[in-house]
Parts: sequence; C-alpha cells; structure tokens
Amino acid sequence: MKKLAIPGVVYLLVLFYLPFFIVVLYSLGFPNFTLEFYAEVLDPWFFKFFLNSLLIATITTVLCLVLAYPVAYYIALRAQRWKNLLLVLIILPFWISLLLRTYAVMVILTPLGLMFTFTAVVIGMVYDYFPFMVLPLYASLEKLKRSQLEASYILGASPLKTFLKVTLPHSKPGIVAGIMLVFIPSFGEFVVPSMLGGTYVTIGTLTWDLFLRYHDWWRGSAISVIYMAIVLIAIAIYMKKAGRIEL
Amino acid sequence: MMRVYVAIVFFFLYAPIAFVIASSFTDDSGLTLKWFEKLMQDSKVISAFYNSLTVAILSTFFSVILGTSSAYAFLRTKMRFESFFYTPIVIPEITEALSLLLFYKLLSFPLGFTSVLLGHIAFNIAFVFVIVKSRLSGYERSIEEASLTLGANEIQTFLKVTIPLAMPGIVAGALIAFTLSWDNFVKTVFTTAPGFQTLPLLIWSQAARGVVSPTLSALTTLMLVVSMILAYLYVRISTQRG
Amino acid sequence: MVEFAVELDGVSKRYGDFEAVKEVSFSIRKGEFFSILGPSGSGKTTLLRLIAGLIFPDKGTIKLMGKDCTFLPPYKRNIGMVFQDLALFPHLNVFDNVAYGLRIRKMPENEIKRKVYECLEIVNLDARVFSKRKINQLSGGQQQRVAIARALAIEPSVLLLDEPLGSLDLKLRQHMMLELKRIQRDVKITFVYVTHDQSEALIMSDKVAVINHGKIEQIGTPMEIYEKPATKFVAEFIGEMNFIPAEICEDCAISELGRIKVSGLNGSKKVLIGIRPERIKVGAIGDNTFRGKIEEIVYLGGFVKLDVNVNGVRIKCITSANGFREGETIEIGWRAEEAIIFEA
Repeated sequence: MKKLAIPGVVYLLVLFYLPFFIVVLYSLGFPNFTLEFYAEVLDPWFFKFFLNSLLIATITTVLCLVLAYPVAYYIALRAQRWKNLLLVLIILPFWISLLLRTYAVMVILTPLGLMFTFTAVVIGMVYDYFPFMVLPLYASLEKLKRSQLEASYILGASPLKTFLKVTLPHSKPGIVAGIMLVFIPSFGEFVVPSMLGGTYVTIGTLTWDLFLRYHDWWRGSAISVIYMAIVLIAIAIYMKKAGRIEL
Repeated sequence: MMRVYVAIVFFFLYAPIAFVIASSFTDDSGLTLKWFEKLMQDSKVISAFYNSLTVAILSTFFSVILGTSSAYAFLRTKMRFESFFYTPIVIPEITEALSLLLFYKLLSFPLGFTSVLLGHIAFNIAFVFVIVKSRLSGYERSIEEASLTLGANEIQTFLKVTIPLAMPGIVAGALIAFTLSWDNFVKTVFTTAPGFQTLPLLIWSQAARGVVSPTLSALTTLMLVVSMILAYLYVRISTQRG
Repeated sequence: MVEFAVELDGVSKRYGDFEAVKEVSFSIRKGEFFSILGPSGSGKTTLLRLIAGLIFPDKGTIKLMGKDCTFLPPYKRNIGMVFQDLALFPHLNVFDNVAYGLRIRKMPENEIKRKVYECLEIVNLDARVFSKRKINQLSGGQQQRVAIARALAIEPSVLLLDEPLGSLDLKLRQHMMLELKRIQRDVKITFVYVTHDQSEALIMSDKVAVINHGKIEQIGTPMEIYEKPATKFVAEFIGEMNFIPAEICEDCAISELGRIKVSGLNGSKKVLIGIRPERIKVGAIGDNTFRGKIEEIVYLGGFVKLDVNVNGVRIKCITSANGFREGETIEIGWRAEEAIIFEA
C-alpha cells in the first residue's frame, strides 16, 4: 500500500528537490567551488536591489494590512445578510491570475499617465496582494464571537478599548498569517515591477535578468538561495509560533 | 460608515477588471465584437491557446494520478513527512522556476513543450495531494473494512467504495490543477523556448512592453471568463456531498 | 453438525511492546449471544477484529464453524460486522447499502430485492419508506438498524458487533438492547458482542467473557459473572463490591471490623472479603453484624445507598428502607454464605 506513494514521491524528488540542490550547487560556483558569488551579494550594488525589494514588500504589506483589516472585520462581524456574497467577491480575484490582474491595473493607469512610476508599482502590488491579506484576517476574526464583544462591553470597556484588548489580540494569528502570505512573495515579485515599473529594479527583476538575459546561473543562484533562506527562516519562525500551517 | 468604506474597497477591487472587459467590447464608435474577431484570426493566439490547453489537460491528468495515489498511500498507512508535498506550495514560484531551468540546462534537456509540462506536473502534484488528502480524511477506514466483511476483496473495495468516495476530492484537485496550469506564467516563462507560447506568455510579451490594446484586453476577458467557469465548477463540486 | 461457531485457541496479538491479547482461548456455541466485556484498552476490540480477519494473530488459531480461518481475509470468512461508527456507505442509499454484500455475491436482482426487504423488516424499518433514503437523512437509531440489516443480509454464520450502541441516548439504547435480543432470537445467528457497558452485557447475553489487559478473567452466564465473580477484577467491574481486608484464623477472619464469620475458605491467609452492597441488610442479621455511623446517604430513586463507617472501614449498603439521617448509628449485617473470598 505504501508503494502507491512511490511514483509521486519520486517525481517530486527528481523534478523539485533535485533542481533545488542544483541551484545550491551553482550558487557555490559549480562546476568549481567558490564563495565569491555570495560575497558579491554583500556588495553595495546588490544592496540597491535588496532595499528596493524590501521597500516594496514592506509598503505593500503595511498598506494591505491597513486597508484589508476593516474589510475583514466588517465581513466577519458586521455584515449579516451580505456576508456570503462579500466572501465570494473577496475570493473571486484569487481565481484570476496575477498576470491578468496586473494587466487590468495597467489598463487603468495608462490613460492616467501613471505608468512606470514607483506609485504604479505600489498600486499594482497592493491590488494584487489584497485578497491574500483579507482572507487570513477574516478567518481569525470569524472565530471571535459576538458574545465576547458583548461581554467586554458589559464589563465596562468602551468600543475602542474592546477593540484593542479583545479584537486585536484575537486576530493576531490572522495578522501574522496575512503578513507572511503578502510579504514573502512580494519580496521576490517581478511581474508587477516589470509591467508597471519599467526600470524599477528588485530582487525579482534582477533574478529574471540574470537567468533569462545574461545566463548568469551563478550569481542568480546565489541570490535565489539567499531569498530561499529568508523564506525558510520566516516559515520556521511562523510554524514555531503558530503550530502548523493551515492550508 | 464602515459600510461605505467596504463598498469603496470593492469598487476599486473590481473597477480595473470591469474596465478591461468594457474596453474589449468597445471601440471609438460603440459596442463591437471586432477585437474578438481579430483574436480568432491571429494564428499566434490560436496556437498559444492549443498549447495552453494541451499542457493544462496533460499536467492535470498526470498530477491527479500521482497526487491521488500518494495522498491515498499517506492516509491509509499513516505515513509522516507529508510536508514533503507541502513545500512546492509554500516556496515562491520564481525559485521553483529557475531551479527547473538550471536542471534542464545541466542535463542539456531541450526547452519547449515537454520541459514546461514536466514543471507544471511537479507543482500540481502538491496541490492535488493536499486537496485529495483532506477530502479523503473525512471518511473513516471502517467503511473500507465494512466492505471487506461484506465479501468484497481489496480490489472490489477500491473500485466500489474508495474511488466513489474520493471522487469529489479528485475532481476538485483536478480543477485546481487545471486552473493553475492554464494560468501559469512564472514557471512557464522560465522553462520554455521561443517557439513555444502559452496564452499567459502571449499576454506578457505585449504587456511587458507597456502595450495596452483592445485586442489584448479581449484576450484578457476571455481568460477571465475561463477562470470564472473553473471557479464556478470548483464551488459546485466542493459543496456536493460536503 | 458443528457445535461451536467460534473457537479461539491460544490467540495472542502484540503491537510492538504492547501485548493487546494474551493467550486467549474460548469457544462460542452456535446460536449463542456471546458478549466480550471489558474496560477501554482491554483488548476486546482487538479480539473482535481478529475474529473478523481484519488483523491476524501472532500466535494461536481461530476456527469459524469448525473451519480454520486464522489467516483468511474477512471476505473469505462468512462473517458479518456492525462497526462502532456504523461505517455505512455515504454514497449509497439504504437499499444499496443493504444490498451491497448480495451484489458482490452476484445474486439476481429480484432475489436481492426480496432479501433486502426481508432484512429491513427484521430490523423494523419500512422498506417502502426507507429504501431510497440517503444515509445522512436517517436518525442515529435508524442508521443503527440499517447497519445491522446490511450485515444480516449476507446470512453470516457469525455476526460481530463492536460497541454498536455507544452513540445512542439512554432510552434509545435500552430500546435497541431489547431489539437486538429479539433479532438474534429470530434469525438464530451467533452474535459476538463487544462492549464496556456491563448492563448491555448482562441484559442481552447468554454468555459473557470478561477481559482485562488482554486476558480473559472469567467466562460465564450473566448470573454466574455477577453472583460468583472469579477474580477481584470481575467483582469490581461488574456491579459494586465492598472489599474488607482480613486474615484467616481457624474458621473465621479477623479484620478491622472485628471477627467475621466466613464460609468457603480456600486456604489463603490474607484475603479480601467481598460483599455486594445489596446483600448487606440494615438491622441485626445474624452471622455478621456491626455497628457503624452513616457518613453519606445517596438517594437512588427506589433505593437508598448508605455509606457506613464501621471502625474506620467504609461499607456501602443498598436498601429499600428509608428514613435514615446522616450521622445516625445503625446496625448492618450480612449472611456468611453471601460473601465471596478473594486472595489479597
């Protein structure tokens, strides 16, 4: 019976885990061995990309969080009749690929003349990643029962105090999940900066160029390994704190 | 007050999409279908469509077989390390994409249809695994044991009990796999050759140069329609025998 | 003609270091309602699954209707099984659930219909009403009956039941107990019934096997188990029992209470004198009478349970008399023959 799993496992080993291993090899200078490519990553020229990515990812995450929280709150706790419909409307964009949604942003921004600016990139990123923030927030706010809020009011807390002391802490898992789901991918994002930002460069666009334009496997791999390491560390921290990843 | 805010958010969420759809049906003189006609006459669009369809169907087929068999084996034998199958879902796409490219380069494997397909199957297996496994867990092992005590051997039990029960999960997984494959851009662009294009690649080749055109919008609209149909099918399947 | 429907001989099963079943041997007569009674983790479900063929023993043999079935898979043994969670097929309606085993055996459809209707009638379900219903449209009790009908349809020589009444509420459970007894009498099939609930075992069974930590403690009729428990475990597990530690000297026993007259000495020095609460009477009884203070009174409806302190030993006594007050001093006593002596 266990043997049933062999085809799937073997396939992933060969076409997923093995390629990763190859990336690591290249980052170390395959077929030679050297750490110079990692060293280059510490160069100031690389730092620009890193900072841009960090800036974009942070702004996107913060904006998404601030903009999405009230929406998630409303759907979870206020909307009664519209709840299901709103949920559907929030989930729908997930089914539309990132590429199409970014193109849609382009279509709006072009006549407005906002294309190829930093603002455009931010708008595009927030637009694309907004649903990723709403859902985890909604999921954790949903667990908050009306009666808990009412208990807080009865005990003498004002709406603001109740929000700070009951609602917000309760939604912490959702906030953390949302941050993870937005920050990590947007850090390595390249579709949006390429389509909307023109010459705005990030880790994502750099990786793209290194691999597809300059065929520089070595530097590209080194950067990817570092990005991967950041991702894995973030996930490890999250799993320690949250217990398990809910899929 | 919050209601107003939420309404505004939803407006901004859907305005761009509405705009795209609208601009694919209009030109300077009013409503028209000519942009869609132009699409149908464009041989690049037709061939990209067939490529997208073929890759999606084949990757769905193989990933469903590989993902379902693994999910079943893991579930029934209570194996651990299922995170082995979760990794492709969690890892950023670009990392997966470039690793595949290097893999092919190292093996001097030709880029094109096959390289793209193999990559799609890889990440689809993970999604199918997760979906099927969570669907199957709802049914206790005792149902299969009951079938054995009623006189059915293992093969009969598998065909008459296990497969019917797993079907909604398998179909759901297949829909997700198809959607992911159909819409996929990042992995495809890294593992393809100039001669092989899928629809997302086609859209990118124009949009990346900053081109916004009604024909492109029409193509986007068509892709949107396909996405919505797949979403609808998925919801129908998921809520059946819930 | 085969006399025994099920014969176990020296059956053992272990999981890693854990011995679930240790050298179990017993025989079940054809047509008997046989219960395996024990606490959680005692190995009773393991035993049932061994008889079913869902797992195989490490040692020993299992014979069904005289035939050695030790390593045969379930579909080669002529058994039926009702699972704890019922395990009805959710994708099939009631009719198809009951017909499942018959279709596997390639019975012609018109015969299947006759048989399914017959089985639904045995379990008191109107076939015309219920045939097309989906499983999730049925109540717990109705699902219960369908599970039984499904197992009976294939006319097994032995029907195995794994704690089938656990999820039902009290009244329904009491009703189903009588139903099961009636069904068993009607179809004359050997029932092997696993439970942790002693009232189920005592009410329905012809014979009960009490199991603890993988070993059979005692096999007997419900009355034998209750009135003459063979071990301390059985005495404690079935009903309630007072245990008085004592030392034997000559023809009586010395304990904290004082001298106790005993009958049926078995030679051990240190013993536990077991006496059921309902065998202890209030007032001077004769053989053994002691004075004690009532520490607690529990009202049980038709009866009263008194917790009496006699020289520091707490004795529980059940009586239908009333009018007691806590703190009162009363006399309680029992007849020597009604006590059971256990080795300490």
